[in-house]
Amino acid sequence: MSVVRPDAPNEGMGGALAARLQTAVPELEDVRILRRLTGGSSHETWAFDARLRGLERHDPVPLILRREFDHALFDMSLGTEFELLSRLHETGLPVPRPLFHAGTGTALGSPFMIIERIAGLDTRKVMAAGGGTDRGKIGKSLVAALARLHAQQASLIADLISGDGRDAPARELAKWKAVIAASGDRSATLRIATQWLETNSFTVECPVIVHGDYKANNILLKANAEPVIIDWELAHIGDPVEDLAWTMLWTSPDDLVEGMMTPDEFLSEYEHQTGTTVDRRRLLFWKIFSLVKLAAIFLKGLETPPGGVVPRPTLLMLGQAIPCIEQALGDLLLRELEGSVGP
Amino acid sequence: MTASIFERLAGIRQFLGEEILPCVPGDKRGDLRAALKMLEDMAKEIDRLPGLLELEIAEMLHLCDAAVAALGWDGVDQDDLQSLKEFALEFDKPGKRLSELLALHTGICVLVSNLAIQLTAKVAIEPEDQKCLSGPRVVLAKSYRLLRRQAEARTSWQSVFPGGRLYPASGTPIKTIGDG
Repeated sequence: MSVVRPDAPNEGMGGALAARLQTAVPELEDVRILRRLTGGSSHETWAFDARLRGLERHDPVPLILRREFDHALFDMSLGTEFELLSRLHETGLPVPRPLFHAGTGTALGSPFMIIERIAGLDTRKVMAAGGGTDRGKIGKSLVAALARLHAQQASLIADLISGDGRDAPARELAKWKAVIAASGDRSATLRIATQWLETNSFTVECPVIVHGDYKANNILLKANAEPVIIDWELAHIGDPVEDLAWTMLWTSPDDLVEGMMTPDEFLSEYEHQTGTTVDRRRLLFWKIFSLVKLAAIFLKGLETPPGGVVPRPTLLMLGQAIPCIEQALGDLLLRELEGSVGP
Repeated sequence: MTASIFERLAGIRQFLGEEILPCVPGDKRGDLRAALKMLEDMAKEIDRLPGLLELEIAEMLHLCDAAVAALGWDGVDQDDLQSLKEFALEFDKPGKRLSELLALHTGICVLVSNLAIQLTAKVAIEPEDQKCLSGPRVVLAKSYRLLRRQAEARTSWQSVFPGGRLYPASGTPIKTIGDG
């Protein structure tokens, strides 16, 4: 018989959630909600332990529950993400093992998925805490994980994602441009940059699976420093250089670029591991795109959520950083006009 | 003496931080900390915004004049030309409220982007040997430089990127167009 333990971890909201989760997934026993985690822009994420019926080893298993909000806009659905994770996991890529998924017709009310909880910390936190004594080595392992992803056949997930990826520059731009337009923002720099991207869009010759949010805090490090890639909701088929530009956007002392290697070293390592040459003109396109995408994400957080949901100050605060994005866009556009764009 | 708006805001922050934050459940603390930080940043913004908006509007109107000259009176979109005249008249009116300045600023931002896009189109069809010295190219570079500088002036009232710089420049400009 399944019983929700009445002890501390299941207090309050967690207790109600544990009971509903157990009803929704009969394979779970002894659900213990541990804590709500920060996470994606349109999902709610909980850490919990539970026993899985039918397993020989009947110890509690560390798990993650992700529930979809009603107002998810730019993330893929959890059902698609679950299928994507399943296929990537089967190839041996370092991703969490997905276990259960359901739509709206369960006791939880909204779509959800359950995946294994990796025993590890996000790379940025490991670095900030002074862990990772060999930063260069860890950096190389993160580049290697990205190179492995980009080596996968795009056809692996082609039936899950719209488009064949050849039109990814225009398609991705249209998606984020719509988010900016819906926000009502009138930034001159964002509009000029968006126009520049439309004018300079191109066709991707060899589309690959793109993570879409590859940065240190979306990569968990296990105790043996092995990386595990999480947060796949922005994945799509497109240009691998898009992932490189997005990774290069994050340059705190605890990030892959500037924290573990310089931008030049990052690109060289990627080129070495993939045997390719990164086209610097395409890199510029994706850098400008990355800034526009980041602005769109921040502006989305400023919108009043539908259905009486209260705006979150953590999201509102991101909107204050739009001038940082405009400054960087002005810099890149000026350098492009002047004919000097470094890595 | 009555406390200033900044002292009252500081008092509210102190109350929320010292009296309320310790009582708030763990999953709400991040949001309350963000709210406290935003109150601090918004106090800086309120302090600087009126003067900054006046300056930015004046700079952008000046830039628009230069863009129109570079595009030629016949080459510029006539709706944009009309908007420029109206914005200049509006800017000259005395005693504007902050909300009116913000609305005017927003309108001029749209105009600046319209003109920059027209300049970009003109630069794109210029012969290669004329590009370095062309009027549209010089004004376009000035536009980017001005927008970059205006954005930089606002980075001090945000806490998301403490250094304030994204994609720090590593390339050395080969040449500088229309700078000074």
